[in-house]
Amino acid sequence: MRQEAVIAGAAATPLGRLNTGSSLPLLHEATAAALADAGLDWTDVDGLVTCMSRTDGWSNPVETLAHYLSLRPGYIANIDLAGATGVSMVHHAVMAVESGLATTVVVTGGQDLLTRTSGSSVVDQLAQAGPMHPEFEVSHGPLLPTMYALIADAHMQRYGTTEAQLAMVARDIRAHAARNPAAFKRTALTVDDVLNSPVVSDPLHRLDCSVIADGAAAVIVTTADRAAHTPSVSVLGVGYGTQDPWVGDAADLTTSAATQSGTAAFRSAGLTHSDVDLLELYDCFTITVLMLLEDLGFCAKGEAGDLLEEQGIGPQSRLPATTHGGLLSAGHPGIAGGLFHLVEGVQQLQHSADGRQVRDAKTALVHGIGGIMGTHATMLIGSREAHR
Amino acid sequence: MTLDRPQQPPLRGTVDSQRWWQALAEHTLLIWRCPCGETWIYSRSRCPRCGKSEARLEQSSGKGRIVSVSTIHRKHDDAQGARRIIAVIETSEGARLLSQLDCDPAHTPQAVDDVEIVHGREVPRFRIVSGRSGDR
Repeated sequence: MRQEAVIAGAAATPLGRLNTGSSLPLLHEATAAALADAGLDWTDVDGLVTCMSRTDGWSNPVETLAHYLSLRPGYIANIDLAGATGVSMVHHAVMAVESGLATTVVVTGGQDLLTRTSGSSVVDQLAQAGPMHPEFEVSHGPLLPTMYALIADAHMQRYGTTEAQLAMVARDIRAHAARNPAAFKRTALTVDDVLNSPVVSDPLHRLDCSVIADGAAAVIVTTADRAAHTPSVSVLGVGYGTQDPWVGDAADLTTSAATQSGTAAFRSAGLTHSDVDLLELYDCFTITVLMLLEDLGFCAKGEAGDLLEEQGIGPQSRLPATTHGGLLSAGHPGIAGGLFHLVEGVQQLQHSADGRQVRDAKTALVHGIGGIMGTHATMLIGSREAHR
Repeated sequence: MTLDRPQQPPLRGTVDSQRWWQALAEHTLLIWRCPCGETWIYSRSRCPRCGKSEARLEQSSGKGRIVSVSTIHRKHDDAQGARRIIAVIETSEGARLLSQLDCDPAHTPQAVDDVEIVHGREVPRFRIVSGRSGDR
């Protein structure tokens, strides 16, 4: 029973210190808003996809959440590709609807990551949680930012990328956040502000790193028939890639498997780069955005620094990226952080992004990264009206 | 109540890496080498280049170079208050690993520097043997 699946609704809570004592109220708030956006009701929901919450420690998140939301869905899944989880959760929901397993799937994730942990203890926890090799790396005591710093150092040596060019990523994404009332950090930044912020692990400064926050996001995937009366968004193509998850063992630190996931996504969508109006790039550290611009093919390898100097990725750029303010400024609520990029992409294509709306946006690329540049998921989405 | 437990120290590493850690304790750095020539250190069941499962451990020269390096500025957790310097090292045989550098605080380590292993620690550390930073 094949049926066409579309994204009919998307929403996110504000990001910041929200003091809910549990992630569940945040997940409820995001889901309720996404259902309202889709014009659907709780009784329509027959599928639920979510992800792990490191602050809550649930053994089976989807059953805990189904209970809290008083849902009894016939399709359920917990997805964990670390930072690539958001893209993957929505992809799985699309497959469930297309196969006929469900007709309306709630995809939601988020945590009260800031309230229940201090910023530095989050970093310490993550250091033990798997992105570093338990046997060969953890005992040396690198911080999580150190691992991205090693990637940045390699890129700077090989291609002449500068700290100022990395700082331009933080500056431009902050400029997007300034137009998003839900973002945690909204004060404009200059390149000097970033360079003058304390060094965490050189060459990365504090403002090259994410801002930990509380928050949740949700996306509603349903059939094209049910979404006939709302502005809906189609998933045009998806690709995954993985290689060399350990920084110490990676054959090449300067090129990621985003080359693989991006190529697959464009091929499955039948689109080219010139079709893309905006990018929602995973930005846990500034270096990831810079490398994604290259590895996804929006400039030649080694030339993202030039792209950032010439046009940037801010609101005035021909290639605006991470237009909600991302993990760097809007806030990083943990494993579901990449779902906010997808929510933003959907809202841009629904033309409901208010003060940060990219004019005539029809097609967006959303990219999530899991681990330390090890796992990549690329999704191309388009307004159904434009791509029918 | 007492439990009757064997009083042996836990094995260091896994079935794959036990010999590697034991050799390190005896001041020898080992690397895996596949018959196809590929080398590595972190445990794998198959060669990343040819996919075969025929690699053997061999002795490394213990010398290599810095691939990339980062100094942690946030914590002063060394006994002497020195900053922790983390580096990716490539041995002369081409195998890579994450390590720490023992380094004169006056010297800023760079990726052009040659290094050699420092034995006698729980985990392998390296020191700079030819600071070529003056050439740059």
